Amino acid sequence: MSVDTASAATTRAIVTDAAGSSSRARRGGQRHPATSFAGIALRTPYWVLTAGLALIFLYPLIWTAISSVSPLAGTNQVDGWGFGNYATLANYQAGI
Amino acid sequence: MTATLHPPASSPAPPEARGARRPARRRRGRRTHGALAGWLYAAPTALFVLLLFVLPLLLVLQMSGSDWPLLSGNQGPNFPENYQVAVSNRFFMDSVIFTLKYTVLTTVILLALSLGLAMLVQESSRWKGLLRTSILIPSALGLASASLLFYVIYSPIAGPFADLMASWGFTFLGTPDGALWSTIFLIVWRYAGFYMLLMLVGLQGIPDDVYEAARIDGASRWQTFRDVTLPLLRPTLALTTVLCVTGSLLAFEQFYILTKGGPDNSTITIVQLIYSVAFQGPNDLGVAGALSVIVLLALVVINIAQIRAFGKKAED
Amino acid sequence: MTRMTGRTRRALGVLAAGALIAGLAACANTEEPASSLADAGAEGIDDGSTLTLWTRAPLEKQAKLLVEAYNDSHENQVELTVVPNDDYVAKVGAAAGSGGLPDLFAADIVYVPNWVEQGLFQDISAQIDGLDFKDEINAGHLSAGTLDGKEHVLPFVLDLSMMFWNKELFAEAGLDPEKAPANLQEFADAAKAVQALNKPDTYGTATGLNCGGCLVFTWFPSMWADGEEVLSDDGTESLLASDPAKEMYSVWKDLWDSGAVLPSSKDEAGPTWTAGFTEGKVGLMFYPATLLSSTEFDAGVAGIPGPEGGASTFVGGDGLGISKDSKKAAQAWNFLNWMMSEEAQVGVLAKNNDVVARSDLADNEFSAKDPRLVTINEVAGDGDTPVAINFQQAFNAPNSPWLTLVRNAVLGDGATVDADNDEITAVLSE
Repeated sequence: MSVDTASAATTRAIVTDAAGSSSRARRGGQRHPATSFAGIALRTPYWVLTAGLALIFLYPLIWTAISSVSPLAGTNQVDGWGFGNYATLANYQAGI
Repeated sequence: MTATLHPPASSPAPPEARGARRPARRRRGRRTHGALAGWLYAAPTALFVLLLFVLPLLLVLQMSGSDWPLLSGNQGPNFPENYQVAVSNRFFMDSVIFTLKYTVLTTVILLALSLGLAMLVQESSRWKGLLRTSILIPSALGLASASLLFYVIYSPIAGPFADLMASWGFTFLGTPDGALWSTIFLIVWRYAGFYMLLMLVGLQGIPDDVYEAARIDGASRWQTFRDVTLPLLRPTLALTTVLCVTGSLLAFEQFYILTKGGPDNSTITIVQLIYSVAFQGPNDLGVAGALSVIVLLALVVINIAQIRAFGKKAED
Repeated sequence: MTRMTGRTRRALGVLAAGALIAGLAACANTEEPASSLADAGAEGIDDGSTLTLWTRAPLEKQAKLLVEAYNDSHENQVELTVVPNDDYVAKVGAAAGSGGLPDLFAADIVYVPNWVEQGLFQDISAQIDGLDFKDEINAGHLSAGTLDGKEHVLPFVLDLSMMFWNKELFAEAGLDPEKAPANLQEFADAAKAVQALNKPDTYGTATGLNCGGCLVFTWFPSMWADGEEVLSDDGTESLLASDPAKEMYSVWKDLWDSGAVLPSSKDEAGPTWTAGFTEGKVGLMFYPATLLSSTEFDAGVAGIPGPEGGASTFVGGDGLGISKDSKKAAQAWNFLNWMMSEEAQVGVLAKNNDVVARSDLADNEFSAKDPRLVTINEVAGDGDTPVAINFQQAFNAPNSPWLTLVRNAVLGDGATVDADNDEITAVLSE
């Protein structure tokens, strides 16, 4: 469980989060300084894992947002970056 | 989602209803008036349940027993034949097997992953808040929109992996296995946040004392997880399993948009079969209705079995 | 509110329930002035009525042009609704069941026999017989809408499948850009020659191997070009396991195995099956003639050849008729009558490089400017439209036995053509 290697490294509370406060209390004794060598060595795989997760979940949405304004074959936008696709959408009449 | 639609017995009557009944009990002569008032108060809810649940159900039952072409309407009774035609459809067995396979895979992967994610992001920090948000964001998308988005992402022409696919000579949706796993990935992407949220709520409901006690007893992390977290999470696991199994058995949009049942008819789910019988070819609402009734009965049986199974474990 | 007596609350509850019921009842009471075909006369009525018209997305461009031209020149106004291709049958079916069809609606010509049999269209024989150019109207479309001698639809938009080739790529590959491949083997050789250029992202040919409709549209003509038939006359038996048919499959299998077919064709279910050619990345392909006006580079056009040569085409597109639910049939006929006029056929369709539905207008001022239009109009006369009640189920549906046959024959080992063909016949004769 990489949860525990990383647990409670932070002392900052996010006010809206109830789960966090209880678990911090629970594991309060295991704090290790983030700057120590062991701390960094333990935390690197955790950072890679979680960053990868965040990327996987965000990538499709980021890609959509970027391609909506980028010149892409098969769309009505061939003159570089801009909001041409949105203009097309606003004038689109093929309804259901 | 049929499992969540309970008959109106559980629908709460407005609080006034109880107030109105009390004087009736004191004065015997007004008892019938009190009952009438109770019915009237329940009427709006009952009316909606009747219009939106009971009537459509009766209509499907009638369809399933009638010769009912899509384009020309009810042509009179055709009772056992519709069911015979339905089960002898050349894709019936294939679609049942595929739907079960998909349901098992999706449920196992989705629940295991969402539990893992919930434990990963359980505590509070800026980074974990960000992580939690990114996992949850896809849940804000409709399933059909998400499917369309992945249709483009998987596309060998317009998608971001088009060049990769060309050089490796494979396509996401080109083989039966590829299509199945690509769809499961979409579903995990879309629903992991939702189930993670349910798991988080469940985890929060476990009191700290039991963890404390486990630590004092010298339990290892794995022992704590197996003997404390999992048993105490059972209500949540029951809820998520029922939701996920029912949702997967009724899978439609993702396959309708991503694979259309292909390649080579390898990804036809039972609901897709119902749709294609009704709208893509035979245009026979009678047979489609018969298939729907069969699915409804199967769902009722499966859900009773699941709820019993989880209930029995709780007694042990 | 808290001081309200029980009696008052009950009274309010009754009132609310009554209002709900009254509201439901009110929905059923909408009467409109009606006109029937008997009032129509030769030209129909143009009295400023609003007509509704449904069509499917692939014909959006032509439908919009026609509707705009009609609305500009008439009192009647047509409201056009364009429905995504895959949802069209479901939408029409639901509307037909509830009596909510629009005044006019278009139907893929291969579905027309079934829909006419189900009684979705009104009989317009008397009006069509009154047209003095009746014999010039495209016969394939007219006969698809004819049941027991009664005509129900007129050709709305004609979509023909033709062989298109990219002249620039032909010249690069050392082929004569002005000469069409004469038979299916020459077609395959030309595709391989373009493929042999080894240009990045450029392929010999393309098709939609997971799109039953595309394959019907582009492969049936190869059979007709050889004088073969694909269906029995009554549309209940499939003849797609004949020797010429097997020869056609083996040409395509050879093309696929040699890598001269756009790889995404394997999974192409329809939405982008023409994109490769339109973008200039495909040497030659069987392609819809409606896209001539959107093909910006120099393309050659000829009929689709068979294994032995010849040329034919699939006369597809949509027929348009007056729905059984229309209360404004006389006004709707006014639109149909105008649609068949020279003003609409030449002034709108031919002007947009589309095929006209009347052979007496095939030579017009616009086709004179582009000899390819003359070719298309000529081949249209040799084309065919298959008629079968269960056509959708047997050929167009995503799980159709026709797709199974083609995929086994081209992507598989090609040994199951006869068995797969029997499966098509089984579905056709259900």
